[in-house]
Amino acid sequence: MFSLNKKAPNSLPLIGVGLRHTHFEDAINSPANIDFMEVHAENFFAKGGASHAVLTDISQHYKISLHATSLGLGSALPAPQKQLEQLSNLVARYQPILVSDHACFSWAESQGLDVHAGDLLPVPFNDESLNIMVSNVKRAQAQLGRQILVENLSAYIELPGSTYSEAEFLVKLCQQSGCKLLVDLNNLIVNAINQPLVTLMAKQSDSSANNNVLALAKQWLENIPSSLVGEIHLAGCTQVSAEQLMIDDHSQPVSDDVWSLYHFALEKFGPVATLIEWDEDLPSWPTLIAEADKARVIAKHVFTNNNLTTDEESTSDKIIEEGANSEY
Amino acid sequence: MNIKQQQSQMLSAIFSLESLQENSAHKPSDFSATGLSIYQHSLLANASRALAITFATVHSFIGETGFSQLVKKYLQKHLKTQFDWGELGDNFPHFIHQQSLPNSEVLAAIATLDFACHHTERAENVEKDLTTLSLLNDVDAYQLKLNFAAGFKVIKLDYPADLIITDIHLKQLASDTEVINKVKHAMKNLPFNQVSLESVSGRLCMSPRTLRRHLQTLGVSFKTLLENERRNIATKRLDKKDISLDQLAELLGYNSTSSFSRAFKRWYT
Repeated sequence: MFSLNKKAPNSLPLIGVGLRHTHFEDAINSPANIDFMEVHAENFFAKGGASHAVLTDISQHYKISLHATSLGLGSALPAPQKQLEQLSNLVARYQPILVSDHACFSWAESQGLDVHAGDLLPVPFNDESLNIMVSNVKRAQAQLGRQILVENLSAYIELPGSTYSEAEFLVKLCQQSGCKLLVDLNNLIVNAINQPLVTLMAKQSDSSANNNVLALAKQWLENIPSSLVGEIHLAGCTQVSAEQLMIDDHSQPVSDDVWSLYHFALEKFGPVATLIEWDEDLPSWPTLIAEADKARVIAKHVFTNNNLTTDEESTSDKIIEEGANSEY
Repeated sequence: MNIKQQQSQMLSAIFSLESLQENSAHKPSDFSATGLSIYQHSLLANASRALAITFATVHSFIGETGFSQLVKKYLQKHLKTQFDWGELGDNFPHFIHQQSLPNSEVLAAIATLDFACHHTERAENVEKDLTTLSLLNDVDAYQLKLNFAAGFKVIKLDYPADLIITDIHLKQLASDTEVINKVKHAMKNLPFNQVSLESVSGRLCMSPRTLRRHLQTLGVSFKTLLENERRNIATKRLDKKDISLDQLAELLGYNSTSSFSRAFKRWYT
């Protein structure tokens, strides 16, 4: 078992932000104290042109993580070889520190055609589905010549036929394919909030108030061995009323529930690379960086044994304040 | 039903895009319909966004609502067989041609050119080897051939779509410079300590978010424009030598001399 050396200051996790088009200029012109930048692989599938010029520039300032959204690792219909080749060209070109995709399906046959959903669609958690995903992950890892991370979804439909819990399924996936997990904490919270609606059990779980959400998410994490976690995603999304499904739109600052779950996850998993994801209604660059700084403050708190010293507290306040000020 | 069939069924249900309208009236217990509609909305939004990038001129011509309706019909008819959003839309020009839209033939021609330009931009970069031009000195021109870049394409259109697109871009450009001028003007007319994205956008009768986005698409930030204004004033006053640095910092709206001196160093070193 690996043990946490909570005192060593160099055991802090790498902390990064998801880089979107709007912030390209800022990322180059106002370099921030950020350990890595994560980009969506598909945004750089073009062979040439402006997108590569930008990413080449960025990769000279920051470490890169490639987050793919299109492989559909749970698809019974295998992805075309060309798609894997495009991803592996990108990996060879930018030498990312991490490569990831999702535990979902995207490819399926419809009207006699191989159709790509352009979305992350849920799979049931059973052996048939597991075998498909294991073989797709192995194929991707063989093509890329490296281990990949697989991310848990936020799902809005529960497909019939599950015999495992999601956490059990993902652990088996890692054991059988040699991949690791990218644990998205907001997806856990969103699924926990949506669960009564998605599983059609609204009546039975009427009593379950929101404070159970965090407990459910923690329980999920309890089932994951720390050696299997390769990255953590943090995000926020639009709040909804109790009757509505919450959609993981990555349009808000990280929520209090997610911060509190992050604290718990770091204590359990150790200093795992952490990413702030923000995709819709993008904030200013300083506001985004301030979110990463908040994660760093929590990580320092967890890995330096004691509570925040007054000094650190004032630093974190200052960071947040400066972030707010530069939001013109 | 095996997984393969289950996945085909779910994907076909999403691409039918059919329950989209009835959804507001769904039965409260029917949450899988709600779930399905979330995926449908997401498909439509992502496809509209992707096609609006590829077919930028068509999009600016018919506007967001019309464009999104067109995309919905297109997706129902032509399933998405590409994994890359950037490749979506090879049948879009032909599809537009068949629609009963005003000027659908012209729009289709513009769409063809949009698609070709998009592909050319994404094609492999090629280094021009100008030294090969010297071959013309020694070799008969008819024995030489041109190597075209990967994105090179010849298309024939029945309408002067290139002129139409240039015209639109010029008009766009004129209105863009106008926005920047208005922002600069508003900055000049406010005391610096009151200049903010909110106060300036208020003067331009738009929301702060809209103004920020607008400037972002022009490749400038509010911060940069403000910084330039401050720098202009600083340079003028320092030339006149009628002001102390503390007074200048205050005039420019810096709340501390240290942040002013940081800016000062940035400008003059």
